[in-house]
Amino acid sequence: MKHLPGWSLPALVAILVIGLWQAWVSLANVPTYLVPSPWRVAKTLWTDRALLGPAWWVTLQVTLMAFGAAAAVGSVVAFVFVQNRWLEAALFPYAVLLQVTPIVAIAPLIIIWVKDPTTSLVLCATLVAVFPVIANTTQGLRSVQPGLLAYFELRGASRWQTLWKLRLPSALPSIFTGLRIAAGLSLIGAVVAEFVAGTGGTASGLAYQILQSGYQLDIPRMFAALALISLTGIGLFTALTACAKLALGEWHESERHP
Amino acid sequence: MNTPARTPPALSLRAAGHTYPNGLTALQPIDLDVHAREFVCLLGPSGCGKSTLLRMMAGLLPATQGQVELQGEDPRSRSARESLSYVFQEATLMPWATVADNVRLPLDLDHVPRREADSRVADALAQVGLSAFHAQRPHELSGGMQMRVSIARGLVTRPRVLLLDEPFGALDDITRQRLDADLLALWQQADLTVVFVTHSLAEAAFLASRVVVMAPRPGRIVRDESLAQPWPRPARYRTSAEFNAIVQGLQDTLAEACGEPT
Repeated sequence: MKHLPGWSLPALVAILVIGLWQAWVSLANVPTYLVPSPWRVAKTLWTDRALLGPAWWVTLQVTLMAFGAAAAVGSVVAFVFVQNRWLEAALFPYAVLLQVTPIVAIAPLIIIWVKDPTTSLVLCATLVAVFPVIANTTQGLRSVQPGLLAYFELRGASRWQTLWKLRLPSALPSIFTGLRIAAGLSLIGAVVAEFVAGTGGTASGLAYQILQSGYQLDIPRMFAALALISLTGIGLFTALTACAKLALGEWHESERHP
Repeated sequence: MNTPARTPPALSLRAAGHTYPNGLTALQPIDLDVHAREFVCLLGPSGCGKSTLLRMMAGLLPATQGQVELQGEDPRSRSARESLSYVFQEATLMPWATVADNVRLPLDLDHVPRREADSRVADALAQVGLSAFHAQRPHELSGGMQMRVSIARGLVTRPRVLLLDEPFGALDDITRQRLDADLLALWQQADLTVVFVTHSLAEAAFLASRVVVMAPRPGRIVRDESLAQPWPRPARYRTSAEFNAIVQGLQDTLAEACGEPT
């Protein structure tokens, strides 16, 4: 158990599930328009690459831009909240409001208001992803060892020094937690926004491909697009986990003993 | 020799007390002068206000009555702050920073040039015997070593007054005795005034040039006594008859003040 690499067990589960799926579809003669076999999905990924590739690129771009925007806006808002309790008290409920409003409900409005399709998609996805960054970063910036805070106060540290040298490093574990959640949500937000935009006739992204495949009953392509979305999500999560390990591995409990 | 000269006090409290907002008196108004080069132990049971007193000396807690002066100034003034170092009960180190970075922190906060800061950090680490561990992170060190880092961080600013709040309370007895001896050696080498909070009678008797005994409910001073025993005080001093007599005397004072039978 100790000598197995971390990815080996999940990989084993994937092989098992895909194997069972393939066996079930083959043995039970499940029609392709209901559930295509994994092999068929893989083949479609290759044969429809001219269609799926650019769509994937569009979704990835929207996701990454939304993630970047959520990380930047969320961090700035959290910094402001930590500097000023009044502002936090006044504005935090609206951050929650943003979080609990279903994006499918407001996406059509945003898509109507914002003329540029990419901007409107990024805006929708950012709205979905920003809250965990705000919440986790704020909590992290506040969760400082009281003894260290007293030490900084005793040494007459400025607000900026306390933020930069104490609050920010203390908050890194929480910040990474927020970013990991935000990465997944950016992707979900991008796909949901593309769906809404796609039903309105704006052609772009993997969600639009899923919609089109549905209309054309091209279920293997639908699965292929879905697989691409999932793989993208896993890729983002893995990349952020690696970043967290790089930043925290030397000192934080969460990364020290994987 | 460390016979304290009767120069103007390094720390001076005039009718200084602290009452919490809920009306509870943590510390009755007290008068206390700590002179330069003294090693004062504030000794007493939990809740007797000794940490409150220390925090008032450091300016971490305001005196709600009377006044506190450090080197003749408000302890919260910049010059007073620069002449003071405070060591907490816990090591309070930054877990993400190396030992050297932790020790350099107060110099970084004061914008001391990097080259000078590094040489002072090296000196401070040598003083506490941790030169070989400068690149380690706190979690790689034992509790005693973490406390040494904390003391090095206190020394690196070259303070005139060092305040320590039960710094070795969480350590095992052997480590504690070794750190006591090292602290005493550091005090003897440097031009330093030390106020050391402890609830250990033996630790106070071993370290102090003067013991201030405190009692709780309300926090107050019940005895203030200079200990004439000369330095250096070797480990065997802890088993000598005179040491035991001092400990016994302190114990009697505490028992009487706290209303317990001896």
